[in-house]
Amino acid sequence: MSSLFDLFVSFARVTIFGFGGGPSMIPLVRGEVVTLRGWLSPEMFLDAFAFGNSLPGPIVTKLAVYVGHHVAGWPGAAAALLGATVPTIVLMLSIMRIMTVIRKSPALEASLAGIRPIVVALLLLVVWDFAPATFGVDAGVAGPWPYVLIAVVSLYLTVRRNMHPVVLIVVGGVVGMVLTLVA
Amino acid sequence: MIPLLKLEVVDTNGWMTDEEFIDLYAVASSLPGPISTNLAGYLGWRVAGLLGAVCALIGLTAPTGIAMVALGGVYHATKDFRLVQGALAGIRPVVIALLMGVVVTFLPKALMSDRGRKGLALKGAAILVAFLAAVVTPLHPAVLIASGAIVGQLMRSTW
Repeated sequence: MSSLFDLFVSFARVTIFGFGGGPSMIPLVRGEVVTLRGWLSPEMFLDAFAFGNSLPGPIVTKLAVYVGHHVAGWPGAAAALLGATVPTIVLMLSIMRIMTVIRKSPALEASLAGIRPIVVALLLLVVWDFAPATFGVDAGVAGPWPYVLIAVVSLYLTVRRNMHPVVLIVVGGVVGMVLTLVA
Repeated sequence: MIPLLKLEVVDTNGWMTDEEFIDLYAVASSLPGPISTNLAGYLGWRVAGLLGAVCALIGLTAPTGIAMVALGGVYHATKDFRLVQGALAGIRPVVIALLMGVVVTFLPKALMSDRGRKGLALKGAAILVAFLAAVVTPLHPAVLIASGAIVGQLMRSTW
């Protein structure tokens, strides 16, 4: 029972502090799920984020359902999903009328201007934490360099060519398998 | 996802006008939480009350949530096979690239300033300080975000 409550609270915290849409919440999910609660190992979280990206739909609710199910079965999935969605919807319903007025207020914009650099820093932190397992000595059978190359090419394709994450993930997986077979 | 949502809400079902939808989207993106679930909950509530909100939310999150659990099951059952490990080793750099892609596209917005180079430099410094604080201390990301909001108020006329 307490794990259901923890799931609800953790994902509520993620979304209540999550400004700027789905991806900006990844560091918060990681902070709760890996660092604070230890529900997933860093590698498992990285992999869950990977297969989450290969499915359509909002990333935070996919991770909530997955982590919730992993920790406490379907009731856990429901508790995490409720935590990830209900508090901010209630917030939105209750302040919608005021928000249409204050949305352009300098005070709100000032807060968001202070939060945006933090979101960038937190995203960089996730990359920093993922890097050793991805490019380190035990990255894969082929040594670090092929994987660095995959990252560089993928970054180019996602930013410049706007290529869909699913395509990149599938190609990355196939290249990874080939590397295992030839190494 | 947002263009698809607009198609359903405005064009197909006529639950609100174009202008209303744009305003709603603007509000949703300055509030915390996933934008699509906030919009779905709000719209569901407006169209059909509590039941409407619940239905909209289930429609949005359940199919991909269940698919996610299924994929997770496959992952746990196979992750120790050599070939799957190889595939995962190839996918991880892609995930890093996707995250860096978010950083690259988000960065101009985060650095944007009305005060030219000085504002830019201060916001760049804020990123660096927050990153170092996050690496060195065990601060919860939420604490850093709340601090960011306070710094934003203090620096309002400076950056």
